[in-house]
Amino acid sequence: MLQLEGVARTIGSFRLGGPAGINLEVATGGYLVILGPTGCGKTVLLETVAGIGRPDRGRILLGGADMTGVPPERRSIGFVYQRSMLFPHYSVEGNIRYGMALRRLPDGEQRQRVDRLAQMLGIGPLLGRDVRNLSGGESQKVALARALAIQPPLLLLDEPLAPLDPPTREALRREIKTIHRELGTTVLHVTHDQLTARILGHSVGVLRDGALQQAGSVDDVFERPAGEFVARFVGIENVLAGDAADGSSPGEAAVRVGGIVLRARTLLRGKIGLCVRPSAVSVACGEGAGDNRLAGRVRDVVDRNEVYRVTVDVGGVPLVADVSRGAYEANPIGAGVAVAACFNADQVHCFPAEGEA
Amino acid sequence: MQTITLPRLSVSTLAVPFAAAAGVLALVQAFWSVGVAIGLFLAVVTFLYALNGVANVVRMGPRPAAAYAAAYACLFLLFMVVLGGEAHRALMLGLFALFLAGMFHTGAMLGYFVIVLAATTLFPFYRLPLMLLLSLFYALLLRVRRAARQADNSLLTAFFIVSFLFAAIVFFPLLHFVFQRAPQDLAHTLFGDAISPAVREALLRSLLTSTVSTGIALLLGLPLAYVLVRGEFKGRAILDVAMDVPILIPPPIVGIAIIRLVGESTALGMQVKSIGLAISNLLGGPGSTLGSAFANLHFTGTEAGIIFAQVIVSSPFLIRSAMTAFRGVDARLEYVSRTLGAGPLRSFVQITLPLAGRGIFAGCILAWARGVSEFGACQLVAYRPPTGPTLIYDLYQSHGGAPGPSDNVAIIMTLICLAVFAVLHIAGSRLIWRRS
Repeated sequence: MLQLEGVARTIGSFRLGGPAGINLEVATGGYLVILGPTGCGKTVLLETVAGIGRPDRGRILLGGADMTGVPPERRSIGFVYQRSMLFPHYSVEGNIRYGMALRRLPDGEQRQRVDRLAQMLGIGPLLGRDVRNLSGGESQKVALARALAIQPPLLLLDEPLAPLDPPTREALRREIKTIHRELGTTVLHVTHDQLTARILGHSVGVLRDGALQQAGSVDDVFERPAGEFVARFVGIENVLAGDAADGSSPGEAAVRVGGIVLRARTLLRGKIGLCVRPSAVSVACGEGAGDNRLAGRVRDVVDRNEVYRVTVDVGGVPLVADVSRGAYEANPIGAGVAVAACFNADQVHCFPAEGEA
Repeated sequence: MQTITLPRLSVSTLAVPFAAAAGVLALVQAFWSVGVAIGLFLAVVTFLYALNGVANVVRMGPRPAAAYAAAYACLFLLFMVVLGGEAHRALMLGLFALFLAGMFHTGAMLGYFVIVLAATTLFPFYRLPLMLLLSLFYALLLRVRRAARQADNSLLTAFFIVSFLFAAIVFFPLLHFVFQRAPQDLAHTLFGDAISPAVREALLRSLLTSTVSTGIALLLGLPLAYVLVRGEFKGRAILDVAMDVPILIPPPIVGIAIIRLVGESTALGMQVKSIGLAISNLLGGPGSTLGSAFANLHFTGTEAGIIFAQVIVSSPFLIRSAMTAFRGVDARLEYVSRTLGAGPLRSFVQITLPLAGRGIFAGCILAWARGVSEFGACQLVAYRPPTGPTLIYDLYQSHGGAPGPSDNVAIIMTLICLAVFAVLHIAGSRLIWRRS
C-alpha cells in the first residue's frame, strides 16, 4: 500500500502539492492513474515517490513504513520512464538483470525471472540484442521487465505508452493490464491520456499545476468531475457555465445557460458549472424524448470512426452529441438541419463554478 | 577481357600512397635527385592505374584506342617542349604515366597531376609540404563537392575552401618544418651524437611527466566536472568560469607562482622536503631504491615540479571535456540505476562513467597534449632537468638561433607527439562500451 500524506516539493518556480500537499492512497494490488496535462508535475510526483529528490513537507509511506528519507536504492520501487532509459552499454538481458545482479541473486534465480518476464512480455528473442537497436515498443517492454525483475512492491509508470504508435500502445496497454493482474503489483501510473486511465485504472487522480484536483474511483472522476478542469480533462466535451434556480421538483434545478434553460438534477444553486457527456445526448429530428429537449440547428458533423460527432447550435450554445454509426447512416443529418438535442436531467452533472467552491 | 579492378579513390586510400610517397621521397632524397624520387613513386602507383586504363581502352575497340594513343603521344611531345631540359626527364616520365592514367582511368587524377607539376615547378623549395597539403585539399574538395550536391547546399563547398585556407595557414609552417631534415640526420641526433643521451632523456621526461600529470588531472578533475554538471548550487557558475583561469594565465606566471609557493627556500618547500625525508625513511632510507625517490623531495628543478606545472595548465581541458561527456549522459539513467538498487557511487561507476568514457578519454588526450607542449612554466620550475621543449629552447639559444640540433630535436619531438596523438585517437575511437 502506498500513502502520500501532505507531500509538497518545490523545484525552482514549480510547486508540487499546492497549499495542502498531495494526499493519496493506493491499495495493495491497486492501480492508480494520475491524469494531467504536460507540465503539471506528474514526473516530479513519481520521482518524489521513488526517492529521487526529497519532499519539503509530508510523508511517503510504503506498506505502512515511512520511506520519506530513504534513498531510492533502498526503496525497491520499480520505475519506468516515458523514454525507456535503458542502459545503452548493456544488452537487453543485461538491463533486465541489472537490479537482480545488484541484489546478488543466484544465477539460477536470475535466469528464471528473466525467462518468466521475457515470456510474459514476449521479448524472449530480444534478450541478446543491443538495446540501441530496439523499437519504441520493444524498449518499453524491456524497461518494464527491468523494473519488474526486482519484484517491486510498487511500480511507477511515467507515461510509458505516450511515445508509442497507436497499435503498439494498444498492445502494450493490454500487456500491462495482464501483468498487473498476474503479478498483483501496486501501480502508480501517470499519463495525459484519459483512455489509458479508463482502461487501466482502478482509481484515478487528476493533477493540475502540481495540485491534485480530484481523486477517486474511475466512475467518480469520469462521470462526476469535481470541476470544470477535471471535466474537460476526462474528455467531457459539453462543459458549460450557468445560473441555477429552483426547478420543478425539489431535487432539480433550472439552469440558465446563455439563452437556454436546462433541467438538471442538483442541489446546487447560483453560479455553477455543468457537463453532459456527448454520448448522453441524442439528436432527434422531431420532438424527441427526455427531460431536456432543446431545439437547434446542426452546426457540423465529424466522422469519428466509431461514432459521428454532431455539434448542435442550441440558442447560441454549442452542444455536442455522439450519434452511433448505424443511427447516423439510417438518418443522415447535415449542417443547417433543424433538430432537437435531448438528454435527461440526471445526465447533467453539476459542480460549483470555478473559484466559487 | 578481365580488367583489374582497383579500389576507388577515397581519402583513406589516398592517404596510404601519399604517406608512402612522403617516406619514399624522404629516403630517396638523401641518395638521388628529387626528380628520380618522384618519378619512381609515381611510376609504381600509376603503372597499376595505367594497366587498368589500357585494358579499358582495348575493350573500347580499335578506333577509340588509337585516338587515345594519339592524344597521349601529342601531349607527351607538347609537355616535353614546354618543360624541356635533360634534368627533369625522369620526373616528367612519371608525371606522364600519371597523366595517362588520368586520361584512361580516373578523371580526378588530372588534378593531382596539376598539383605535382605546380608544386615542383613554381615552388621548388616548398614542393613536398605543398604537394601534401594541396593533394589533401583536392581529395577532400572532390568529396565535399559531391556532398554539397547531394545536400543541394553550395555553401558547403564555399565554406570548405575558406576553412581549408585557414587550416593551411595553421599547418603549413609545421608541415614545412618537418620536411627540413632527412631521416638519417634525425637518427644521428637521436642515437649517434654527443647530445643523444640528453635528447632521449628529455623526450622521455616529456612523455612521462605529461602522462603522470594527465593521470593526476583525471583523478582530481573528474569529480569536479561531475559536480559542475549535476550540481545545482549558488556559485556554480563562478566555479565553472574559474576553472578556465589556468588557460588565461600566461604559463611563466604559473611557473613563478609555483616557485614562490614551494620553492626550496620557502616555508612550504622546506615542509615538503622534510615530509619527503620522512617518507624516505619509512621506505628504507635514502640509500634504498624506493627511499631515494623521496629523499630529496622538492618542486624546483625536479620532475615533481614539472608535473605540478603541467597539472595546472592541462586540467581545464580535461575538465571541460569531462563536463561535456557527463552532460551527455541523461541523469535519468542514474535515477533508474538507483531505483534498481545501486547507490550513487555505484551508479556513477557502472552507468555514468562507461557512458561518458569516450568523452573523458578525449579530454585525457587533450590534457596530455597540453602537458607535453608546456614550456613556459616548466622552464622556470625546472630548466634542469629539461623536458623536450626546454631542451629545444636551450639548443636553439646556444646556437644563436641558427638551424642546428635544435631543429632536429624539434622535428623528432613533433613526430613522436604526432604518433602518440594518432595512436591515442585511434584507441579512443575503438573504445567500445563494455557489454554485460
